[in-house]
Amino acid sequence: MNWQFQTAAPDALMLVLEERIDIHVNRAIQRLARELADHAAVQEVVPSYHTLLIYYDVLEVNEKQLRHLLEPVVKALLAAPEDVTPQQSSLHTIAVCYHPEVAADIEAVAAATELSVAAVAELHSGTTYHVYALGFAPGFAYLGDVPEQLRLPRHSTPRQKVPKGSVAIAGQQTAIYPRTSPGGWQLIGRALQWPELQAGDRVRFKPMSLEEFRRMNDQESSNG
Amino acid sequence: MANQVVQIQQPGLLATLQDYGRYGHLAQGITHGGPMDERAFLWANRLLGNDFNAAQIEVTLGQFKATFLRDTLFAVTGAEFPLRLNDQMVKTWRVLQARAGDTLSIGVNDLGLRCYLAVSGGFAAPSVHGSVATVVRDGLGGLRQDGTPLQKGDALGAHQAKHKTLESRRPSSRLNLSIPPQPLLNVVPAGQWSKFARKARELLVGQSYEVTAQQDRMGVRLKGMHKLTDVPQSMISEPLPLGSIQLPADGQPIAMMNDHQTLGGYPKIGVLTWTARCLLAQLPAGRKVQFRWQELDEAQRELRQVYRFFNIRR
Repeated sequence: MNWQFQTAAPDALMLVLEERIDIHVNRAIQRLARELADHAAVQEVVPSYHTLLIYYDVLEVNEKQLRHLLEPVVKALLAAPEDVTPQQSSLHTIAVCYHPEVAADIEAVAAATELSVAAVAELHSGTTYHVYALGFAPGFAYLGDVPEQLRLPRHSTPRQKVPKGSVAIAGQQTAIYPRTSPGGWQLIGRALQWPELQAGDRVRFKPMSLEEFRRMNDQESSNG
Repeated sequence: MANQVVQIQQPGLLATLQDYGRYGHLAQGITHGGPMDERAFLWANRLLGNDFNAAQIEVTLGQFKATFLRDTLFAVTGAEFPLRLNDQMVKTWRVLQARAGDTLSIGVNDLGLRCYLAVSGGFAAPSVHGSVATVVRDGLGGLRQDGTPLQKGDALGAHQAKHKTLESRRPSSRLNLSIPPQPLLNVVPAGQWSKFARKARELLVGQSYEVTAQQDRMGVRLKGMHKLTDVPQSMISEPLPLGSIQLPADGQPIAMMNDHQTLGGYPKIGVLTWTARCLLAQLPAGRKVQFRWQELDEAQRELRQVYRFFNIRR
């Protein structure tokens, strides 16, 4: 696999693999993240799809020395066979209500994809997703890949307020908004509970009816 | 809390509790936070003999008033806003003595944006993910741990002071801590620098830029007479380092500051040096700045000096 280092900041180096959203590239990044996080000169690593940001201790090494130190580690890891089998990563199941009453864009998504609302829900919940990265906001997990038929661009003007728990799609990605925030993705469902996700985890969505959603919502508010 | 030291009478536009920042959680999408003008913040702690990470109040655009609830040493650094202890004008950048009942008022002028109120020992608050730094956008940190800024009536405690304050109690006059009329902001080539056309890289340092009103703790938008052309296309989101200069398709730069999102998809032409970031944190809308390319080695040397001088340990 092709790779290179890039200067990212006076105290950070970026490791760049092949630029595509691809589960194998991403697994290599996550493996490198685990490996390099333990390196003596490394302070913190931040993985994304095909890139890994490496913050290091400038009192210990300069960038040239760090490149020299990390190069053999990267080479060895990329040459080794992929070790993350799906069975080893955690699988989470998250209940989602796809009813138009709580999913502002699902009817528009159905129209744009020439599918029924039920078919959109079925397609979205019929896939096991891989957590590519966390970012944008605390706990915001980028999941993929969304089935081909459901791939739509984000809104040209983002919404000011996307409700907490919204399940949304954009291109080949899907996500849950962990708190109410602005956002430009297509809202196709709502979840009430979800675990803290880690890069590399797997996620499935399980449809729930509007009645179930309301019952759970009432329970949550009476508990809280 | 029995040890309360300061009560907010008037928070002004935005007053937030900040320590050096939240580190080690970027992979979960949790950003740094921390002081926008790190230099002013670190100086205040140094003057008081506090740990580098001791929490302070970051006051944005003055108009701030607070009462001391007990005797303490304190310092205000950063923007040279007019400072009053009761009716007495007092100086920024030095250690001052407050008595219980004294009122501190911070005014405003156009000499900067942010100042830092530090007390001996540092303010105390429960930490979230290892830090009290307030990140309003993410609902993290601060006195209530939920990202809300400081409000009228809030009372803050402080930790026991561990060290004696420095004898001189002010930075050496040889140090120039004021903001020059047209600041030079040093930028290290970084990110997608090599993908930008040579013309674009020359233009970034060949024209002056104006700081715009589109700025907050997340980022600062700048505007040049000529926009950069042939900007590389947006990319798959990648981790976004503090100080990065992003160039969206409109060809005008955005400098990413302390509350920046952890991932971003715009191409980056470079990254601000430590000093440049501290300077930019103080520049009001309308101020002109000039970018200048700097070698990575030099920027690293500067960072090492800062870490050693202020005894920063991460």
